[in-house]
Amino acid sequence: MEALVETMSSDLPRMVADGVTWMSSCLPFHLEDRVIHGHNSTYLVQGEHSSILVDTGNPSSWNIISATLDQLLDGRELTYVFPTHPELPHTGNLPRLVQKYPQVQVVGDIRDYHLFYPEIVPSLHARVPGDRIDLGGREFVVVEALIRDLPNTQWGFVPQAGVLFTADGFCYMHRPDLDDEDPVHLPGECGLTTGELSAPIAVENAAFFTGSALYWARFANDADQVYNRVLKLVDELGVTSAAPTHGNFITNVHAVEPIIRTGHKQAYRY
Amino acid sequence: MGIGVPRGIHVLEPARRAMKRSTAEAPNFGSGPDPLAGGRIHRLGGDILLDERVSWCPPGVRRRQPVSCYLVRGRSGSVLVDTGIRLHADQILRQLDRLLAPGEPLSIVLTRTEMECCLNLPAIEARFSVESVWYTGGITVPRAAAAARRVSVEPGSSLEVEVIDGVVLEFVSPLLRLLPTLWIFDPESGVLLTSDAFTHGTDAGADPRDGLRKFRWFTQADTRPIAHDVLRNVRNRQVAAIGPGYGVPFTGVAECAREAEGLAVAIFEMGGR
Repeated sequence: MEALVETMSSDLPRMVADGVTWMSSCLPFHLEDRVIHGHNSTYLVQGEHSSILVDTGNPSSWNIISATLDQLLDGRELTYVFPTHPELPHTGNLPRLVQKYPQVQVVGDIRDYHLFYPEIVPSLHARVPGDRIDLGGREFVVVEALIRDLPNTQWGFVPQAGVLFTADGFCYMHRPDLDDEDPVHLPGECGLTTGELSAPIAVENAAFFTGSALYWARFANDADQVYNRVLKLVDELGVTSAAPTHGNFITNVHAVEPIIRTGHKQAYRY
Repeated sequence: MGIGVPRGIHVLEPARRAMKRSTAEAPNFGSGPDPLAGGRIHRLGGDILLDERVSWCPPGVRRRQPVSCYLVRGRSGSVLVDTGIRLHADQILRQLDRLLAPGEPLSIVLTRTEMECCLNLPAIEARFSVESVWYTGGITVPRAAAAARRVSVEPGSSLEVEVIDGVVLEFVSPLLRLLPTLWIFDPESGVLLTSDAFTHGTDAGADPRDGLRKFRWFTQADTRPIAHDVLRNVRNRQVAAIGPGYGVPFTGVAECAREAEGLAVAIFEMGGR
């Protein structure tokens, strides 16, 4: 496999909400004239008797993820994996996770997984929005993905922690502008929440991600419609934090949402 | 809506209704590889059961569907366009064994870095002499020693690339996509490999709308530029065959043009504008 290209901030893993631990590695994107970095996060939710891993991380970050799980689970088995959708950063370590934890249940919208990972078919368990998974003192609720690229995408929510796991929603490229030739992370920023960053998320970073990963935003001038639905969901569920796969953990959802919405609008170009 | 069919898109009823394909055109894809374009290109892979367990399956459909990758044969090396799904990994390795000479240089082009395109890379790289892996988009591909060749092609344009000695392919960046996508055109044979587009072909007929299941965002979008781009990409190249990542290929200049028109109309009509 590819040599390790991702690193984990020394600030991570980090418990960011009740029972929710943020694990992340940082993926470099090689552009023509520079390298930029983006988060590729996984989250571990632990209850009294069960645990669920949200997204699996890239295959190239397996060593980091495996070692971090050893540390966090402290000898216990991982009970569930919830891949939000079938792309490498979200599902790429599924076979290794099943090999490491033979009893683990892979839950979610599992369409296509039998084609991609035939060896884990016995571990696949379909779930639909509204389904609840008991972790012991905490629940993981499957939620419809309101922002997505692939059709078989789902979000998740932990009511006791108020955390909404948004996959590719609420994502942005992390590119502090030191200057054009040296756009690396500022020391320590990888592991900060949005409430701890020294400056708000830049709209252009949100637009960059949206125009690339959520390509449809270039053609659909529907940002207000989409994000009004998201805000309605946030209020209905009682969301206090959002956990995107690609971006800092969001502790101030209502402050960040207008930035992501504006970035989404900027991506519209045709 | 008060907006007519855009100029250049002609509603051809024959292209919109299911058309019976001749038995001679129906591929024998039980074990493959299946030659296209007189042997310059071979279709590799196998069939899946297209049913409700597959995200691109139209409602109520249950039938066999080929899922394919393609080998472009050069004089001193070959190019594999996509690597197939892991369900077919053993079959694809056997097909490559039959086609490639021992030690023959091989380059791989990924039309997308999605699961049905890249997951057999490690197995292929472990068995064959893979020099380079070409791809677009930001996802790190699971290669080992092969050189990573990331290319960026502005949507709506294309780029000619000598992928391996003597094999020049045109990387077409289509507007029809969910994620970063390349279509690969081989000027020598006239074959256009279209990844997750033109996926509606079956042995019994073809309804372009059946290939748009995964593009549900069209209903909220102005799809006219996308429809025009589909037409332009086929018409400008005198495409002799269309090889999709899944679904039965289309062969013949006239049929390819007809299918492009039918797909463009379906995209246009699905749009929300």
